[in-house]
Amino acid sequence: MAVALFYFFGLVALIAGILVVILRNPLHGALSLFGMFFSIAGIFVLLNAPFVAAVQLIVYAGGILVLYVFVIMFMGLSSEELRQRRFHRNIAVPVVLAGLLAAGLGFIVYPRLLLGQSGQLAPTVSEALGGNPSTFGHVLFRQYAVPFELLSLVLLVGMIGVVILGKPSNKRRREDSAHD
Amino acid sequence: MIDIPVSHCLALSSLLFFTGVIGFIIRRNLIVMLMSMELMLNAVNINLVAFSRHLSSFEGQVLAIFVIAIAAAEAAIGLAILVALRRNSPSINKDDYHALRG
Repeated sequence: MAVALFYFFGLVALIAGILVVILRNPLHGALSLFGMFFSIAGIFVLLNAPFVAAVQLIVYAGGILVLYVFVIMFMGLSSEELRQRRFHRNIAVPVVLAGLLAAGLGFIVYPRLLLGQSGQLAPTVSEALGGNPSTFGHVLFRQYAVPFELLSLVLLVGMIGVVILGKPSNKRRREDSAHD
Repeated sequence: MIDIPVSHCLALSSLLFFTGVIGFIIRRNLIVMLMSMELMLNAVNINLVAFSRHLSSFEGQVLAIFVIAIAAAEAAIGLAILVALRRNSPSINKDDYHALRG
Protein backbone atom coordinates (compact mmCIF):
# COMPACT_ATOMS: atom_id res chain seq x y z
CA MET A 1 0.00 0.00 0.00
CA ALA A 2 2.68 2.47 1.05
CA VAL A 3 4.82 1.49 -1.92
CA ALA A 4 1.91 1.94 -4.33
CA LEU A 5 1.16 5.37 -2.83
CA PHE A 6 4.84 6.25 -3.13
CA TYR A 7 4.82 5.41 -6.83
CA PHE A 8 1.60 7.39 -7.32
CA PHE A 9 2.94 10.50 -5.59
CA GLY A 10 6.30 10.15 -7.30
CA LEU A 11 4.70 9.92 -10.71
CA VAL A 12 2.49 12.94 -10.03
CA ALA A 13 5.51 14.92 -8.78
CA LEU A 14 7.55 14.00 -11.85
CA ILE A 15 4.77 14.85 -14.32
CA ALA A 16 4.07 18.13 -12.52
CA GLY A 17 7.79 18.96 -12.54
CA ILE A 18 8.02 18.33 -16.28
CA LEU A 19 4.92 20.46 -16.83
CA VAL A 20 6.57 23.33 -14.90
CA VAL A 21 9.42 23.21 -17.40
CA ILE A 22 7.37 22.92 -20.60
CA LEU A 23 4.19 24.93 -19.99
CA ARG A 24 4.14 28.23 -21.81
CA ASN A 25 2.27 30.36 -19.31
CA PRO A 26 4.19 30.82 -16.00
CA LEU A 27 0.86 30.96 -14.14
CA HIS A 28 -0.02 27.45 -15.31
CA GLY A 29 3.50 26.44 -14.35
CA ALA A 30 2.95 27.81 -10.84
CA LEU A 31 -0.28 25.81 -10.48
CA SER A 32 1.54 22.70 -11.64
CA LEU A 33 4.24 23.50 -9.07
CA PHE A 34 1.49 23.37 -6.45
CA GLY A 35 0.68 19.81 -7.50
CA MET A 36 4.35 18.93 -7.15
CA PHE A 37 4.66 20.44 -3.66
CA PHE A 38 1.52 18.59 -2.59
CA SER A 39 2.66 15.18 -3.81
CA ILE A 40 6.12 15.69 -2.32
CA ALA A 41 4.43 16.41 1.01
CA GLY A 42 2.64 13.06 0.55
CA ILE A 43 6.01 11.38 -0.02
CA PHE A 44 7.31 12.96 3.19
CA VAL A 45 4.36 11.49 5.10
CA LEU A 46 5.11 8.06 3.61
CA LEU A 47 8.76 8.46 4.61
CA ASN A 48 7.77 8.92 8.25
CA ALA A 49 8.36 12.68 8.39
CA PRO A 50 4.96 14.27 9.05
CA PHE A 51 6.46 17.44 10.52
CA VAL A 52 8.52 18.13 7.39
CA ALA A 53 5.39 17.41 5.32
CA ALA A 54 3.43 20.00 7.31
CA VAL A 55 6.21 22.57 6.95
CA GLN A 56 6.38 21.78 3.24
CA LEU A 57 2.67 22.47 2.82
CA ILE A 58 2.65 25.60 5.00
CA VAL A 59 5.85 27.24 3.73
CA TYR A 60 6.01 26.06 0.11
CA ALA A 61 2.39 25.66 -0.93
CA GLY A 62 1.08 28.35 1.40
CA GLY A 63 3.85 30.93 1.27
CA ILE A 64 6.30 30.64 -1.61
CA LEU A 65 3.75 29.59 -4.21
CA VAL A 66 1.38 32.42 -3.28
CA LEU A 67 4.34 34.79 -3.63
CA TYR A 68 5.05 33.42 -7.14
CA VAL A 69 1.41 33.69 -8.24
CA PHE A 70 1.21 37.19 -6.76
CA VAL A 71 4.31 38.37 -8.63
CA ILE A 72 3.18 36.78 -11.92
CA MET A 73 -0.21 38.49 -11.68
CA PHE A 74 1.43 41.73 -10.54
CA MET A 75 3.66 41.74 -13.61
CA GLY A 76 0.70 41.06 -15.88
CA LEU A 77 2.23 39.09 -18.75
CA SER A 78 1.09 40.42 -22.09
CA SER A 79 -0.26 38.01 -24.69
CA GLU A 80 2.58 39.04 -27.00
CA GLU A 81 5.12 37.91 -24.40
CA LEU A 82 3.36 34.57 -24.07
CA ARG A 83 3.63 33.93 -27.79
CA GLN A 84 7.42 34.28 -27.82
CA ARG A 85 9.79 31.35 -28.01
CA ARG A 86 9.84 29.36 -24.77
CA PHE A 87 13.17 27.62 -25.11
CA HIS A 88 16.62 28.52 -26.26
CA ARG A 89 17.46 27.84 -29.85
CA ASN A 90 19.72 24.96 -29.13
CA ILE A 91 18.40 22.83 -26.30
CA ALA A 92 20.08 19.56 -27.27
CA VAL A 93 23.43 20.41 -25.68
CA PRO A 94 22.11 21.24 -22.18
CA VAL A 95 19.77 18.24 -22.22
CA VAL A 96 22.62 15.91 -23.18
CA LEU A 97 24.89 17.47 -20.54
CA ALA A 98 22.23 17.09 -17.84
CA GLY A 99 21.67 13.50 -18.92
CA LEU A 100 25.41 12.82 -18.64
CA LEU A 101 25.41 14.36 -15.17
CA ALA A 102 22.46 12.18 -14.17
CA ALA A 103 24.16 9.08 -15.58
CA GLY A 104 27.35 9.92 -13.70
CA LEU A 105 25.44 10.35 -10.46
CA GLY A 106 23.60 7.09 -11.02
CA PHE A 107 26.89 5.36 -11.78
CA ILE A 108 28.26 6.44 -8.41
CA VAL A 109 25.15 5.97 -6.29
CA TYR A 110 23.28 2.98 -7.60
CA PRO A 111 25.92 0.24 -7.62
CA ARG A 112 26.44 0.83 -3.91
CA LEU A 113 22.76 0.89 -3.08
CA LEU A 114 21.42 -1.77 -5.42
CA LEU A 115 24.21 -4.25 -6.05
CA GLY A 116 26.62 -3.85 -3.18
CA GLN A 117 24.41 -4.27 -0.15
CA SER A 118 20.96 -5.11 -1.39
CA GLY A 119 20.49 -7.41 1.59
CA GLN A 120 20.95 -4.58 4.08
CA LEU A 121 18.67 -2.17 2.30
CA ALA A 122 15.65 -2.61 4.55
CA PRO A 123 15.67 0.51 6.73
CA THR A 124 15.68 -0.04 10.44
CA VAL A 125 13.13 2.46 11.63
CA SER A 126 13.37 2.79 15.37
CA GLU A 127 10.20 3.38 17.35
CA ALA A 128 11.49 6.66 18.71
CA LEU A 129 11.80 7.98 15.15
CA GLY A 130 8.14 7.36 14.36
CA GLY A 131 7.95 10.90 13.03
CA ASN A 132 7.20 12.21 16.49
CA PRO A 133 7.32 16.04 16.35
CA SER A 134 8.27 16.41 20.02
CA THR A 135 11.38 14.25 19.55
CA PHE A 136 12.11 16.24 16.43
CA GLY A 137 11.79 19.45 18.42
CA HIS A 138 14.27 18.17 21.00
CA VAL A 139 16.83 17.50 18.28
CA LEU A 140 16.16 20.82 16.54
CA PHE A 141 16.32 23.04 19.62
CA ARG A 142 19.09 21.29 21.58
CA GLN A 143 21.58 19.96 19.08
CA TYR A 144 20.85 22.44 16.29
CA ALA A 145 19.91 25.52 18.32
CA VAL A 146 22.76 27.71 17.00
CA PRO A 147 22.17 26.92 13.29
CA PHE A 148 18.47 27.56 13.91
CA GLU A 149 19.21 31.03 15.29
CA LEU A 150 21.60 31.73 12.40
CA LEU A 151 18.76 30.79 10.06
CA SER A 152 16.59 33.48 11.59
CA LEU A 153 19.43 35.92 10.92
CA VAL A 154 19.49 34.81 7.26
CA LEU A 155 15.75 35.38 7.01
CA LEU A 156 16.14 38.84 8.57
CA VAL A 157 18.85 39.76 6.06
CA GLY A 158 16.62 38.47 3.24
CA MET A 159 13.71 40.55 4.49
CA ILE A 160 15.81 43.73 4.66
CA GLY A 161 17.17 43.00 1.17
CA VAL A 162 13.69 42.57 -0.27
CA VAL A 163 12.54 45.86 1.27
CA ILE A 164 15.55 47.69 -0.18
CA LEU A 165 15.13 46.08 -3.61
CA GLY A 166 11.41 46.72 -3.71
CA LYS A 167 11.72 50.40 -2.88
CA PRO A 168 11.79 52.80 -5.84
CA SER A 169 15.28 54.25 -6.28
CA ASN A 170 16.17 57.64 -4.83
CA LYS A 171 16.67 59.12 -8.28
CA ARG A 172 13.22 58.07 -9.42
CA ARG A 173 11.65 59.42 -6.24
CA ARG A 174 13.33 62.80 -6.77
CA GLU A 175 12.04 62.89 -10.34
CA ASP A 176 8.54 62.06 -9.12
CA SER A 177 8.63 64.82 -6.51
CA ALA A 178 9.99 67.25 -9.12
CA HIS A 179 6.93 66.51 -11.25
CA ASP A 180 4.65 67.30 -8.32
CA MET B 1 3.87 -3.31 5.21
CA ILE B 2 6.82 -3.31 2.85
CA ASP B 3 9.19 -0.39 3.33
CA ILE B 4 9.93 1.93 0.48
CA PRO B 5 13.50 1.22 -0.74
CA VAL B 6 15.77 4.20 -0.36
CA SER B 7 17.12 3.67 -3.87
CA HIS B 8 13.67 4.42 -5.32
CA CYS B 9 13.60 7.70 -3.41
CA LEU B 10 17.04 8.50 -4.81
CA ALA B 11 15.88 7.68 -8.35
CA LEU B 12 12.84 9.93 -8.00
CA SER B 13 14.86 12.75 -6.52
CA SER B 14 17.57 12.58 -9.17
CA LEU B 15 14.93 12.61 -11.95
CA LEU B 16 13.25 15.66 -10.38
CA PHE B 17 16.61 17.36 -9.87
CA PHE B 18 17.63 16.98 -13.50
CA THR B 19 14.20 18.11 -14.66
CA GLY B 20 14.94 21.25 -12.67
CA VAL B 21 18.45 21.59 -14.11
CA ILE B 22 17.16 21.24 -17.68
CA GLY B 23 14.35 23.72 -17.03
CA PHE B 24 16.79 26.22 -15.54
CA ILE B 25 19.05 25.99 -18.57
CA ILE B 26 16.63 25.86 -21.50
CA ARG B 27 13.82 28.23 -20.49
CA ARG B 28 14.09 31.90 -21.37
CA ASN B 29 11.51 33.14 -18.88
CA LEU B 30 13.09 34.33 -15.62
CA ILE B 31 10.09 33.33 -13.47
CA VAL B 32 10.17 29.77 -14.82
CA MET B 33 13.91 29.66 -14.11
CA LEU B 34 13.22 30.51 -10.46
CA MET B 35 10.50 27.84 -10.33
CA SER B 36 12.97 25.28 -11.70
CA MET B 37 15.24 26.14 -8.79
CA GLU B 38 12.40 25.29 -6.41
CA LEU B 39 12.16 21.95 -8.22
CA MET B 40 15.83 21.24 -7.54
CA LEU B 41 15.56 22.19 -3.86
CA ASN B 42 12.54 19.91 -3.44
CA ALA B 43 14.41 17.01 -5.02
CA VAL B 44 17.23 17.55 -2.51
CA ASN B 45 14.68 17.53 0.31
CA ILE B 46 13.35 14.13 -0.79
CA ASN B 47 16.91 12.81 -0.62
CA LEU B 48 17.48 14.24 2.85
CA VAL B 49 14.24 12.84 4.27
CA ALA B 50 14.82 9.43 2.66
CA PHE B 51 18.27 9.18 4.21
CA SER B 52 16.94 10.41 7.53
CA ARG B 53 14.62 7.41 7.57
CA HIS B 54 17.23 5.05 6.19
CA LEU B 55 19.76 5.95 8.89
CA SER B 56 17.16 6.31 11.66
CA SER B 57 18.31 9.77 12.61
CA PHE B 58 16.68 13.19 12.63
CA GLU B 59 19.58 15.07 11.07
CA GLY B 60 18.20 14.76 7.55
CA GLN B 61 14.84 16.17 8.56
CA VAL B 62 16.51 19.10 10.37
CA LEU B 63 18.51 19.82 7.22
CA ALA B 64 15.31 19.61 5.14
CA ILE B 65 13.70 22.25 7.38
CA PHE B 66 16.78 24.46 6.92
CA VAL B 67 16.62 24.00 3.15
CA ILE B 68 12.96 25.00 3.12
CA ALA B 69 13.72 28.18 5.09
CA ILE B 70 16.60 29.11 2.77
CA ALA B 71 14.34 28.43 -0.22
CA ALA B 72 11.79 30.87 1.18
CA ALA B 73 14.43 33.60 1.52
CA GLU B 74 15.79 32.82 -1.97
CA ALA B 75 12.34 32.98 -3.58
CA ALA B 76 11.57 36.28 -1.89
CA ILE B 77 14.84 37.91 -2.96
CA GLY B 78 14.70 36.46 -6.48
CA LEU B 79 11.19 37.73 -7.05
CA ALA B 80 12.09 41.13 -5.62
CA ILE B 81 14.98 41.34 -8.10
CA LEU B 82 12.55 40.41 -10.88
CA VAL B 83 10.14 43.16 -9.85
CA ALA B 84 13.01 45.67 -9.76
CA LEU B 85 14.17 44.50 -13.23
CA ARG B 86 10.66 44.75 -14.60
CA ARG B 87 10.45 48.33 -13.33
CA ASN B 88 13.38 49.35 -15.52
CA SER B 89 12.65 47.30 -18.63
CA PRO B 90 9.49 45.62 -19.91
CA SER B 91 11.06 42.24 -20.61
CA ILE B 92 11.31 39.12 -18.43
CA ASN B 93 13.40 37.15 -20.92
CA LYS B 94 16.88 36.44 -19.66
CA ASP B 95 18.39 37.09 -23.11
CA ASP B 96 17.37 40.74 -22.90
CA TYR B 97 19.58 41.37 -19.88
CA HIS B 98 23.15 41.47 -21.12
CA ALA B 99 24.48 44.60 -19.43
CA LEU B 100 27.03 42.47 -17.57
CA ARG B 101 28.09 40.73 -20.82
CA GLY B 102 27.32 37.38 -19.26
